[in-house]
Amino acid sequence: MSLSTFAVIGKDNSPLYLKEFPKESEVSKTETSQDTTDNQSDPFGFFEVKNEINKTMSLKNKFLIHSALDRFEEIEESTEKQQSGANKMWIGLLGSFDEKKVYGYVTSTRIKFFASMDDVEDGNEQFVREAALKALFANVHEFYIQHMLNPFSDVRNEKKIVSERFDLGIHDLIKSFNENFGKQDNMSWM
Amino acid sequence: MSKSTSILDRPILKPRTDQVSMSAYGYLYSELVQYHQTRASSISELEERLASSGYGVGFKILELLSYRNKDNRRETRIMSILQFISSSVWKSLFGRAADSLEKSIEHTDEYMIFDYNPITSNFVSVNKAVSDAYISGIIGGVLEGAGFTARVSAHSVDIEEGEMKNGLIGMPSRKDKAVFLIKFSEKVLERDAKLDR
Repeated sequence: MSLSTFAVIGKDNSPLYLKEFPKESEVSKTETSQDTTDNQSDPFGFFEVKNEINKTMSLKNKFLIHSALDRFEEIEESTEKQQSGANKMWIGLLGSFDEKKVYGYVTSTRIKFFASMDDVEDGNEQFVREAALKALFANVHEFYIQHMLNPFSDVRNEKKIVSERFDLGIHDLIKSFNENFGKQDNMSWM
Repeated sequence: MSKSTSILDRPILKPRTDQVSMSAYGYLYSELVQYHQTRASSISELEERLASSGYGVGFKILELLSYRNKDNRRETRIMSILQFISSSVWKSLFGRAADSLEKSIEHTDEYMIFDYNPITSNFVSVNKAVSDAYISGIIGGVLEGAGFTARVSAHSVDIEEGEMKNGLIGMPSRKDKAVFLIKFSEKVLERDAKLDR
């Protein structure tokens, strides 16, 4: 199923980028508290956030990321084994919460990426998704490096990432991931 | 629109070993130094400003080189991060490795990186160490990004007789070499000692 939450956490565990990607059917149910203000008090769109960057994440998903971070720290302390070069960054499944599975990836400078996906029963599809997720994380890593090379970005103080280029890039990546692996009744891979 | 790809579009994973002309670098760096010089009220303040400019560079070069290096090792020991700086960082910035890396005998928390001809002070005649503060900022940024708190300062030391001097071809050989003194904090040394066991 689809990827619903994505987070980039800095090396001091500060949140750099938190984003959720609600499924089409859930948009009508207001998931975030932000949405309720849109329709009722704001008919002309003066207070509505035009671009997606400033929408904050719902508390439920923040809690999800916190739990994944805790689990990640447990794993980090315990495993001393070094996997092969390219796989070192991939952590894999961090846990399942509420029918969502959270996967993690850490760079050598301890920047962490977490993504939560809806659960799916079929075991084979799980592997296919994980492989695609690895590729997704590698692309996000590249986006992060590109954002960081911007001389105007403030990476030392671990501020939130507000770059629109980064945001749009991640958005496109995840959208194409969801289109390829999203709806289970889609026969596109056959 | 020109057909050649701009430098911003090239993938960062595969670096081309293109070189930047010395004059382009010279203009840019001289402008940077002049900018800070007009705003600083003393020499030490100028050094601090240059060092803080270099800090950002160091931080980012650490991320970039860790990404390009597929091995993805995170250096946790003092010696390995210093070797990373004196070889990988130096090579990617200046095209050559640093000339030597030494541990100070008198003080256990001090290490020194030597460079016979850092490009920041290549054209400076007096007070070369001030201009090298930019490089000490870069080193400091890399160390801070990797998790080692340290103070880095640049000095110039006279070259003794008989030492090899690799100056640029056509330039008069320098009589002194630049040394970057790296002083680690107590906690970092304790941590490193614990990892030994």
